[in-house]
Amino acid sequence: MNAIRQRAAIIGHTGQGNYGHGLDRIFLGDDRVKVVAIADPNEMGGARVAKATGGKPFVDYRVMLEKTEPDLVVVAPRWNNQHLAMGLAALHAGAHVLMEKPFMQSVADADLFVAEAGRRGCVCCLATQMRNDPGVLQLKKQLDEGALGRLLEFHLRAKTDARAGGEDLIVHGPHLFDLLRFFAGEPEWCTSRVLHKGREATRADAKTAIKEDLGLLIGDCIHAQFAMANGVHATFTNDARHRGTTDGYGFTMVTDKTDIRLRAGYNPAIEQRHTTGWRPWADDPRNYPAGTNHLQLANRRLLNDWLTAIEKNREPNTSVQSALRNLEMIQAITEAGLKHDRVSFPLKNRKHPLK
Amino acid sequence: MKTTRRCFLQAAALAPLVAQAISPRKWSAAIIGHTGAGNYGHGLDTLFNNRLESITVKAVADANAAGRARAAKASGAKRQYADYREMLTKEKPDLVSIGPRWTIEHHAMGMAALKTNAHIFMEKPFVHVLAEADEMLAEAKKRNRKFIVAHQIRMGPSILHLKEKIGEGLIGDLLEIHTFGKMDSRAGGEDMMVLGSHLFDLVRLFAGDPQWCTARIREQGHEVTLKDVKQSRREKIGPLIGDEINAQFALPKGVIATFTSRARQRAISGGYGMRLVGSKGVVKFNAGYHPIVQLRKRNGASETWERLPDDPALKPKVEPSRLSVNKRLVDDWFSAIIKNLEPAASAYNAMKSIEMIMAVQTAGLHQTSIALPLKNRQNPLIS
Repeated sequence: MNAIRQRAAIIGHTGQGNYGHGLDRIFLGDDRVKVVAIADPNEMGGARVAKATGGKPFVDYRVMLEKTEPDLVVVAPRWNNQHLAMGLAALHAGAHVLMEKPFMQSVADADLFVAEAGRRGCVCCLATQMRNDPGVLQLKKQLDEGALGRLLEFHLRAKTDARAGGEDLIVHGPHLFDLLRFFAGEPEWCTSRVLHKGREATRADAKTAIKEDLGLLIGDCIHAQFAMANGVHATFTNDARHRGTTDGYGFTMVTDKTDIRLRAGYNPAIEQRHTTGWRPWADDPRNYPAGTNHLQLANRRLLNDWLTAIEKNREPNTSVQSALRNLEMIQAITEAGLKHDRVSFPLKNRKHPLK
Repeated sequence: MKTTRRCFLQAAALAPLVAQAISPRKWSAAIIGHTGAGNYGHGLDTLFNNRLESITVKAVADANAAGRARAAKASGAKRQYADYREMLTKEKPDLVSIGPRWTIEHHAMGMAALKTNAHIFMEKPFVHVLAEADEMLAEAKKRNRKFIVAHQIRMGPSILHLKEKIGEGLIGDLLEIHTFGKMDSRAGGEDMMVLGSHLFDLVRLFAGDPQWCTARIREQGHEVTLKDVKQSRREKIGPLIGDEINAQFALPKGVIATFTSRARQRAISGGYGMRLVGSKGVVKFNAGYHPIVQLRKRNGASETWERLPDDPALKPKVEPSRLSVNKRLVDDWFSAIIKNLEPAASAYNAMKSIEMIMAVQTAGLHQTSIALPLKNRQNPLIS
């Protein structure tokens, strides 16, 4: 693979999701890939990325795909209102796809994309970078080996900033549920309480995000529970009032031996509970020098895994198949909150629950 | 059963009359136990021992002769009966302590005592069939009898102090309550029935009545069905289910409460008790006769738990013991009788905590959310 450079294209949309989390720069300095084109309806935004990457700028991604026939396509906008169209166009052009999260606005859309990728044999992944973090991988290894005891509970916390509730769920949930499933397996069912201004939310409370087009969302306070495989009990908490007293965006895992918490980020902090509080996890293999660009490093791992998966024709760690299951968990929370009842996995209702 | 303003005014008007009617004479009391079938739980055989200046313990009833003799000696009862019905008919006590830990006879004993016009102090768990609680509550209301259930923790000075402090903003807005059973050999359904009744009573004390409940109940690794219904190995407290329970309650003001009982979790759970999470702080306490309330202090990554400096339990007037803890309830019971008010540890509150237990069982069994109050007043585990 190294002998033949992969030809890559980047799709962004300045003013409508831009280029999320450094995905416009993901190929910089990587001699395995040559950026041949970029597409952005905003000419200024496109020119900026074209200059940085060396790709030929296009206004219309469809034209770009047709003319350049790239091997790899990055679908970079943070907004997911065009993800399906952009993603399918890239697949139809025969490209493998790396997509920014949130993946899609509905499970039905994700089904379409995943099915098309499978039909065409394209290897597609999502930018949920923490899944490839060396600290996370070491934690999983030790958990599997029994060194940390048997997993009992897994508590997820989103950012609970101004987006607390449905928006936080959609934006940060994909990372959290990806990690939950990595450590604890698949969910069996979900229940949730979704509140809007202090009362149980109804469909009439559906709204859009403050700044981004992420589809319809609901609630300003969410408490969800997941029954996971092997009896693991998982929760997702998102209440802006909670921000001052939680352990921050990330998770806490409870085993029969210890508590481990992870503060999410490009370089997630992993800590273990001791009698006097939390201390850095002693077995964390990471030791980065000051000034390390952790976003760049995280994206490099993502790229490595994607290219390896393409080469070996395997699913990437952050595959779209996995992203689909993460999205099901998000949609299940909304559906369970509206129904006031359990929602089982895999979801029967594949449509957006707020439409 | 809330004390309305109207109720209060009526009670205030009646209080002098009630006090006059009761105070001049010694009150008569009787104790019902059943050695070998629940015995006398948590000091209920000696409930009146520190009030002998105002109470005469007239009799004790116990079907077991040896146990009866022991209880009579411990309580100073003047007479002994094998049959509690006979005792109630002959002695007509003002007050009755119903001591068995087992619930199977609570309804029969309670109704018999109410029908002789006695005020009642009953061991928990209250009942294992809500309809039985409803019937006793209705009978007590009809006769204006004061009915208390031994949920001692809610009367603890530390707990009352904590409730006051939370009201003053100690932890900001209350957001979550996490409760943990003892998770000993009874982990799961039995733990919830025996110790969950205290915890759920406290959840309501701090956060009000639950609106709905969901639960995951497992037995040996699978979600339960009616086939998994079992009995306690030691106590007859009604049908039970599950060796692992994770339950959630939706409470007013967006508060969430959880209950966890899994033997595997015992070592790291922090013990039988609860943790209250607010928008500005977190407190926890162990449940038991002597709850120790602690506030989380954070300094960077370090985390310590410290007693509240003005916790009245730091300078106890009386060293906590079974007798002194029960005395608080008895004082409240008498005050309720005299002032014609609801006691804090009322049978109504006990019924509500049992209702939460039944809601968990129903939600787990039927794998669905359950709204409260429960419509089904029968035991959900009896098919």
